[in-house]
Amino acid sequence: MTSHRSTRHRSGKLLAAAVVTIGLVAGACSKKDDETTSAPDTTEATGDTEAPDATEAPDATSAPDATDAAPETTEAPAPTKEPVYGGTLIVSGEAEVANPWTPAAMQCDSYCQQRARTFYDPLVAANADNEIVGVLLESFEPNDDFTVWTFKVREGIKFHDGTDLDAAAIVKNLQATGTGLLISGAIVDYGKNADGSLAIEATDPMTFTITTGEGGDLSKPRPWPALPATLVGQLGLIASPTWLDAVVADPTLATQPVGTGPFVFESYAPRDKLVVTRNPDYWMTDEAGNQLPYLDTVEFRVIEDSETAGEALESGQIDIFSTSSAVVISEFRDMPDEFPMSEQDTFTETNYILIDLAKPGPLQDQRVRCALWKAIDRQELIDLTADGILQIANGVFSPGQEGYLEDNGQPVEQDLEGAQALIDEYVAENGPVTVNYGTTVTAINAQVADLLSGYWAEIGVTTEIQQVPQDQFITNALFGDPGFFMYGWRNHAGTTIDGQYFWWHSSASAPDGSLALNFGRVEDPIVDENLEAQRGEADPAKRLEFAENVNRQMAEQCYQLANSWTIWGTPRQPKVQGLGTLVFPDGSLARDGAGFSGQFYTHALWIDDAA
Amino acid sequence: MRYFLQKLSQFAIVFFIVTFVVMILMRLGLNAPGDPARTLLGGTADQGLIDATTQKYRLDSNYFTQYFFWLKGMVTGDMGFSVPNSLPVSELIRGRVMTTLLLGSYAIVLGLIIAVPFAVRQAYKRDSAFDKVGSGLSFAFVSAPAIVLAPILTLILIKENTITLWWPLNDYQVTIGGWFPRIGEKVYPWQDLGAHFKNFFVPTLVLTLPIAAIFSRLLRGDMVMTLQADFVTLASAKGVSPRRVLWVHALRNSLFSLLTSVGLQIGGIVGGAIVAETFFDLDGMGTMLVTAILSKDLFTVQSAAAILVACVVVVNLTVDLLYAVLDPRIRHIRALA
Repeated sequence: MTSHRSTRHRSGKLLAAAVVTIGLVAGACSKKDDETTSAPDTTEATGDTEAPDATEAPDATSAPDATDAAPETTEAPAPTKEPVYGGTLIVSGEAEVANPWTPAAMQCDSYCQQRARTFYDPLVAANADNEIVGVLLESFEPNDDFTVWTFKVREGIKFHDGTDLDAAAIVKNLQATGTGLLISGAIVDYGKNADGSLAIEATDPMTFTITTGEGGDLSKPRPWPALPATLVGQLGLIASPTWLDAVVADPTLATQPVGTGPFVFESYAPRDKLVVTRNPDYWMTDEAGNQLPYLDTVEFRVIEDSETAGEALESGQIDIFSTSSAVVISEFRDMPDEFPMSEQDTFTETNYILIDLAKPGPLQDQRVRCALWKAIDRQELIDLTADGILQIANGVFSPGQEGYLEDNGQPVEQDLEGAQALIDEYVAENGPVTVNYGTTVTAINAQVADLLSGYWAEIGVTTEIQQVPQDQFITNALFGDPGFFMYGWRNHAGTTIDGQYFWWHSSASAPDGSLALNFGRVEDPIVDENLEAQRGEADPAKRLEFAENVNRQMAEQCYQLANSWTIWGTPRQPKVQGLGTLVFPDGSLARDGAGFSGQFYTHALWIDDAA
Repeated sequence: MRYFLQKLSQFAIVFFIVTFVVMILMRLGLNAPGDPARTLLGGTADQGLIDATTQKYRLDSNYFTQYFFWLKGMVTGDMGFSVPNSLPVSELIRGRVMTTLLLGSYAIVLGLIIAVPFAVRQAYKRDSAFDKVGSGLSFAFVSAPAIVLAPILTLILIKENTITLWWPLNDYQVTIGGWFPRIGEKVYPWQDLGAHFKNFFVPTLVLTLPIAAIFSRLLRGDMVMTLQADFVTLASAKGVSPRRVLWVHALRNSLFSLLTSVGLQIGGIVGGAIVAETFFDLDGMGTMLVTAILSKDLFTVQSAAAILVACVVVVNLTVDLLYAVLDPRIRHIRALA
């Protein structure tokens, strides 16, 4: 494979995205169509499918009974061969996780989610029809006004260490993960008890409830139709309570996770290898009733550079990897027979420049931010760094997402004259402008940084570029590190506006030096108002209106400087079969991506050595 | 013996100074934006853990106290805890030190194996075509840092390339490359010698070629001077064979610069190792150190720095002692001192 420049995919944006937020967003945002090369066409997402109209029966939100499958349910592709048990799959990903592997502490990006879902199961997941369905949960339903949700745990499941999965185990996990610094900001409207614990109670051995409360205040119940989607991601990953207790006593055990997942942890060396082996007692089966998973072993490598990963795939050293490097995707498009590739290009992330709005300096001025926006030649950026295959973004709402607008009031063409006028106005009042731009340590991201620096130099703005390791990128943004001014970022995949709540609501913001899931420290009353309004809104049309208002306001203020929308490709060796074929217990097809673009389930993968 | 003890005490002083300075620099980084323990733990830890960490590592004490207890921990095997990796530092280092040690050792040894005969012949055949080509090659490799060599060697040795030949072998295709893996596996010689060779050869070559070039240039220069010395002329006049004159008399007297350079290259090896380890995905001390610095993984940085300083100092101490082995006059002078 010849060397190409590739897009600035990794820069911790992707990390930040999925991560921390635990996939709450991921869950809500995970509804997207997969236009894959192997799976059948999926139904279009028409709105927030997990939030039924208020007039519908509450149990419409429960996982449908297998015999009551909704019409036009996406089905698994008809298998051309029978799966074969055995084999080892070698997967590579872009970054190592920080603070592995307790759900409460791990700073989880897409690849972390990928790996964690081998040894953990989530409470719920998104299916190919963009519905939230139960995995460890058998059912879930709200009360009449969506302020109390009741969850029924699936019977007969054990953790790898023999501990039973029950409501108490789940409540323990949710309390630990949900009250931790990382996650709590993302579930601000979960009710909180007087002692600070979440209003999550086990009402019987296999049932628990979650009560909402505006800002945690139980006296102000918060209608929240989309609440189950918060359990799709990191918050919903359930670890053995026995193991969690052991980790408290011995923190080194944190690297030896114990869950209910299809694979059992075997070994882990940071930045080297994670190895998991088949769980012989896994509870999930395929449609024919055969126990999952099929693979004996999955080995996860960390290869930070996508081109290197591509070369490793071509040389046979790895079997599958996911990438948002447009150049790598473009190259593998030319090799469909040698290396089949699945692609995800809807409801995807936006590549943008994340600005720390709390950092004193020129970036706190809208004129400077919008000048930087106007100065960028996005098409040239895409042509030079992404082989021209990405779509220019006008904001952080990608096509198909709730709130997406073809015209949000922000022109995307380069406008040096307009940019210069804004800068001149600012400089006349405040003096010359110097900005600091951070990016991860890859050649492509360095190239993007250089290009941006060039565009901004044309309007008299000096750019200082700093490179930061990817696993530090999220932490820096999370805590408003002194060195975090602007970062090349990627985030905001998904379909619903509710999934973006804590990224932009001021309640999730905090001064630099404190943890804030609202990485950009956006504190805008119009954005807040619309985010709050949509959270309790069950009518998709009204919710759409609120989402579009957020889009327009974000664009007008240039809070985040969007450049392009991502494409994810998952090339693989021909022998790797079963991608996109996992069927959930309710009979619906799982949607690879699970809220994190590029992620795929390993449950139903198998090796066909004859391929 | 006295000389040895003197050198040992110098080593100890250097070790303490360097590790103390490293500790202070890392602590200074921890002090922003707030509680050093909170910064160290990544900010997601609860107050109880932060208090326990502060107490355990005395992060609220003065630097000398912190250093003393860190050193005490090092001696007893407690190198601290790496929060970003959720592992004891000792375990983190254990999984990586061998990779870098092997890469570095191979590079030095291979560098000497390549450089010594090359330089001897160059000096013997001074100004010949061999000497000129050799000088050109060594100049090229000295100028090519690891970051340049790594992709070049990847293209030549790792990527499979099919070349269509020209007259008189028109249209005949030859496939070169594809002989080594793109991504390194940490397979050690006692596990699988063949796999170890395949995985370590190209990264080693990345480090070896510039080192061999430096050694070769140094030794050639010294050999040229030595070959003009009176004792060499006398040896030749006495009928000593040219081979013996070169390899026994001249070479021995020309090794001092080379030996010194070997000691100095140890430090440079780490820098090159970072590139080789990163490029070929061989996770060793180099990549670990860089990541630890950037993620403010305090104890990993301190411990890794201590190990590297110790290695450099020990090697240079050995080089110092070897001078006496090579030159009896030094032994005599030291004995008199």
